Amino acid sequence: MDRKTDYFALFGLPRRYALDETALNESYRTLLARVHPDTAVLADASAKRKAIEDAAYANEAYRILKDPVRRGDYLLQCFDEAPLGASDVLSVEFLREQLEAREAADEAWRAGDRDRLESLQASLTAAQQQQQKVLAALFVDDTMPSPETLAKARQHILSLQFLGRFADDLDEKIDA
Amino acid sequence: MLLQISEPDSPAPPRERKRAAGIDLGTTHSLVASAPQGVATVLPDEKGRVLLPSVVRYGEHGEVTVGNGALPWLARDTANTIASVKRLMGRGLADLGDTRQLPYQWAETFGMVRLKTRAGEKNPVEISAEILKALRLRAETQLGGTLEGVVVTVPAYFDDAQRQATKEAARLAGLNVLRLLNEPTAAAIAYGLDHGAEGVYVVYDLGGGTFDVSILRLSRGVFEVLATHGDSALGGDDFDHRVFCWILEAANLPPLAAEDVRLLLTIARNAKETLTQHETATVAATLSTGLRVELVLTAEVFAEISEHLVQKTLTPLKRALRDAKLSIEDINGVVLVGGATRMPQIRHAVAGFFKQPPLVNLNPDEVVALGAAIQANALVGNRSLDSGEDWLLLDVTPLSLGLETMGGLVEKIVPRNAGIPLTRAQDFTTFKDGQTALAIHVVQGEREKVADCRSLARFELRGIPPMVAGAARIRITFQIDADGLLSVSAREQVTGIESSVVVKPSYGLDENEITRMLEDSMTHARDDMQARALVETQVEADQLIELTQHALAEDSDLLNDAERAAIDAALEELAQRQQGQDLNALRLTLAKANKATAEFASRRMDRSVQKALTGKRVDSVVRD
Repeated sequence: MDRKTDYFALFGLPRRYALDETALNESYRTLLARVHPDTAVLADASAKRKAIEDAAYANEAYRILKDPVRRGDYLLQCFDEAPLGASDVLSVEFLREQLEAREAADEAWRAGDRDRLESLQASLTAAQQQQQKVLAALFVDDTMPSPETLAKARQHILSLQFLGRFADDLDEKIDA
Repeated sequence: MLLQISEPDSPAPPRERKRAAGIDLGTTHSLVASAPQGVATVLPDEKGRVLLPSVVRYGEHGEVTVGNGALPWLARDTANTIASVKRLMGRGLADLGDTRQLPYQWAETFGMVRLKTRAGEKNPVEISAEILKALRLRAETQLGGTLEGVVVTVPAYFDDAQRQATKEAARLAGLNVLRLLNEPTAAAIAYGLDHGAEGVYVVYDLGGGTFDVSILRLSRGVFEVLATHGDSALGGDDFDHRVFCWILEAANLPPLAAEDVRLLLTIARNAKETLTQHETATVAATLSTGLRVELVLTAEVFAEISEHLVQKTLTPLKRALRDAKLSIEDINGVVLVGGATRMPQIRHAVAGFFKQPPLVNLNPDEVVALGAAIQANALVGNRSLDSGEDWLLLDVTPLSLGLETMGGLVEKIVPRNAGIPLTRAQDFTTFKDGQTALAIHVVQGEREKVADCRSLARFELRGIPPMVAGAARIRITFQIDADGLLSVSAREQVTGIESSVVVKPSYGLDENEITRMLEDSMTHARDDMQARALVETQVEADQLIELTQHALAEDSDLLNDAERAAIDAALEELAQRQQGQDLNALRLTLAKANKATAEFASRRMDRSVQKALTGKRVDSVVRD
């Protein structure tokens, strides 16, 4: 296994944002069945080490591609962009919107209003799906996107990351 | 001596299969299983008992007794008879809470706990190794030779220190560890392959001292662990302890001597087990002070006093579901593992939580060892001969791993439930001008503060060239192998200076202690070799007896009365010797028996050749 192969190629997937999850899962399992350290238990030390490194590489690739935010971030890097970092900022408009949603969630939580929390969760899920749809339209294939497209994609990935954290927070509130 | 005659036409003997076994090293009892013909079975001892009580006693004459032989000493020889040692693996005194609850004498120590026994100070690794040695002997006796390798199971929620300690114990017992396998995963393999299960399954594993919950997706031979959670200090023992406390309270007992604590704990366990089948259990004991205790415990009261323990198992269930991003409706089945899941209140709670009755059509004590045996068999390469199709196991790391950063906070590098093996790197930098060294503190756990996590290791990267603060780029890489064991390395990217550790847990054993234990085991190596030779000769004797008896049943007409009597006598003497421990005497008797049966063997050989010839048409003989 070549550990320099890009993650999409590793699983035989097109380099784009939209993901065929079934194909990814199938391909991941086929690959792991070949490189997993279980196949090298009786082999020598160097073969064992190679198995660990190959499987670790495949696991990392799988983790990145499966995650909607990390997949986007990885695509940016595929197109020679810097990964998301501290210098990235969200638009004021988006932040204001989100602040309101968060306040509503805190309020509902304090009031013990589970129904309200669940309706907030539903609209949050819809917002996440919307962001992903936009990203799928921005990264359609291998061709180098324009600088404007990349800048736009960056914003949407950042928004998705923000929404993801909010979703975790909501999950915890609903479980509690 | 050749007594086994294969017919000229019989198929070639099957390809030599490698001997492999799966070991469930449990808190309460341990067991070993093997899958020599592809089908896993647990291996019983010479009396047909499958479960080996995980109890080790250091006797007056230097002898070490493991299992049933040690059980009667639990209450009588408390300091030298150790039970539930699994709870001490990879643990320091501070981790154990109130050690007065346990009837042992503790040695002063910084690392892993050590017990004072009459055989000297013993750490949990050495004590566990005794249990593993007993299981190794059992397996090698029954499988007829040295084990190529074993799979040893650990609770999924064991941290790095506990895993390292387990692997060390196996090494000390002379075992080649093919893989450390998570207990719920092992159970899922055994259950899944046996029932052809497909879908999402939860394994609820409440053992003697540990609780695990794992969620797996089973799909066409792939066992993918989606999430695991648990409590490595919660198990059946705690239910015993609740009953024990109830006895103290109900009978209004004064503080007790160590042997009375043991006695009442044993009685508490019996009462718990009785309540699995019955509505009430009698608690009756006479203490060393002569005081007589007689009480009746009802199932209802037992459920009440253990309710918070049952509830405690539900939190990890919720967390595991959340980490797997699943809800209760997604679960196709719930498999119960571990003897403690026999308790009715557990079954009710699980059924209520998942809104479906749990699957109980397997032996909760044996399923983990069976799964480990299947895995061991596959890992040594016997897999291709198995009837089942190929399968693959994908497991996760149970706890987050991170580094200490400024202010005693944890920077997480590897989140819990990440697929293993894995490699994860992160860059750090210096925070002072001219800083030439970086202290690296590796921790494991879910909490934000270092003080609330388990400290795994500390090491230093030295020789960083003096630079302004923030200029150095130090890449720290975490690697977790398929056993779930961690190694960490640090490298300054500009100069390439490197430093690494295989994590030797702070609560583990230092290198000196490991060396000492290995040296100790060397001095016992002669005994071990003797023991192995004895086992091998016993197996050989067994085979000779069995084969001769088989031959006698078929061809006894080849012998006259005197010859027959001589063979019978030789076999009888051999059968007797075979029970004993005297290796030289057994070898002598075996040689005699071989001689006594030699003539018979050669006559059978002649007859069989004749038979083969007369039974065939001439052309077939010529062609062969």
